[in-house]
Amino acid sequence: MAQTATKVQDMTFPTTVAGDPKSVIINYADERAGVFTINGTLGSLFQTRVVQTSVDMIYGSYAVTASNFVTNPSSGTFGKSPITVRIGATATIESGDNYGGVTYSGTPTFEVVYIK
Amino acid sequence: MKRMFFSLLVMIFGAGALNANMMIAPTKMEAKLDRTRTESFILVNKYKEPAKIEILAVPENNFVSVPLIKDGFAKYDLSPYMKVSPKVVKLQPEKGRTIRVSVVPTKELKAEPGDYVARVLFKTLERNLTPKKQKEKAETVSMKINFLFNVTIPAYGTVGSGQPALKAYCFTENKKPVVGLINTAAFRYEGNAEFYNVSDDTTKVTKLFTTDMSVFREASRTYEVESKGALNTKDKYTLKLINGTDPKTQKAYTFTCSFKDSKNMFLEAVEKAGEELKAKKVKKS
Repeated sequence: MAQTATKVQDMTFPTTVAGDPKSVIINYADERAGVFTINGTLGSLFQTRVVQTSVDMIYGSYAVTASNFVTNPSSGTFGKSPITVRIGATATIESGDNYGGVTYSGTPTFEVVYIK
Repeated sequence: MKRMFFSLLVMIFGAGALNANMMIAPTKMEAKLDRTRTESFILVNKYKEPAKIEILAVPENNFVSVPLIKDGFAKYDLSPYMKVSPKVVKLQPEKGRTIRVSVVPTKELKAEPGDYVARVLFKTLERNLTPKKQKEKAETVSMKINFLFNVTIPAYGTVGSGQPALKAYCFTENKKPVVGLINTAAFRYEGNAEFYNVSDDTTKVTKLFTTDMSVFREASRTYEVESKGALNTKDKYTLKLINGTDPKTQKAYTFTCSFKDSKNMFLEAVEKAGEELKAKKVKKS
């Protein structure tokens, strides 16, 4: 039996005004959430998580922090159909984050743990 | 804005992530540790772009949040005895590669019978991508998360042969029935679990569910019972565990359970498990 893990979609935060301090939350159910599909042996258990507590989304020498990663489901049992795992997170923009007109990007690691 | 001291190269090319779609087979490694053992895994890149993947042997307890009875779990770590080859592979789309994982047991390891465990970690590696032309207005920012991803699978090694020593207990948690397993032996339990209601009419046994369960050596674990209806806390239930898949060595254990509705049932059940519930070997049907 083979097991597969496939990235369906990365996470994209909504466009935000530079220098306006706020937390931008992407719920795991949001259409902008990160999405993976995983499958494995029928009846076997799995866990999912994002390895890092927080990551910097970077443009050149500038950065905005993303944190509070939530995976759903965070654990479960493989059935006959692939399981869709969605990932939410929070971007924290501070008042000094006023370098606009660019895209900040970060690279956290989504992890699938096949148990047993 | 946090100033980051990244290289000019990163500023020019930006930071990107490597997309990938990994397929791995088989799904776990099991090795008898009487001599050096090698198992081959097939790793396939099912994504439309090239993928660079690192393969590592790592300790189990970095990943799984299973409560353990004993401290010193590191002494059951198999990863120091494992060798992976190749350690990094670059795969074109739809191309695969055989990964060999060897376990080389030492004299000291072979002198301690029991099960050992580690994980094989398949880790996508980052690369730099040319940034897309910026279209945002000067006063706005866009933010994107490009996920890398890891997949880990279990690797077991066994010195000698033996059976688990199991205890089971039952309780409710958030009004949901839960079965707990405790294994006090050096050999893990891994097999089938069948759950019956026998208390209302012993001539008419009702099978409630069948599932896989496992618990490592000297460890405990809980499973939520997937019951269609609410379980009666006054009824008696039977849990039948069948260790292994080989008919020659397969053994079965039965336990009697009753689900008590108590918030503190977990700790109470753990403390009393050894007194209230005794495993007995039963004949295979």
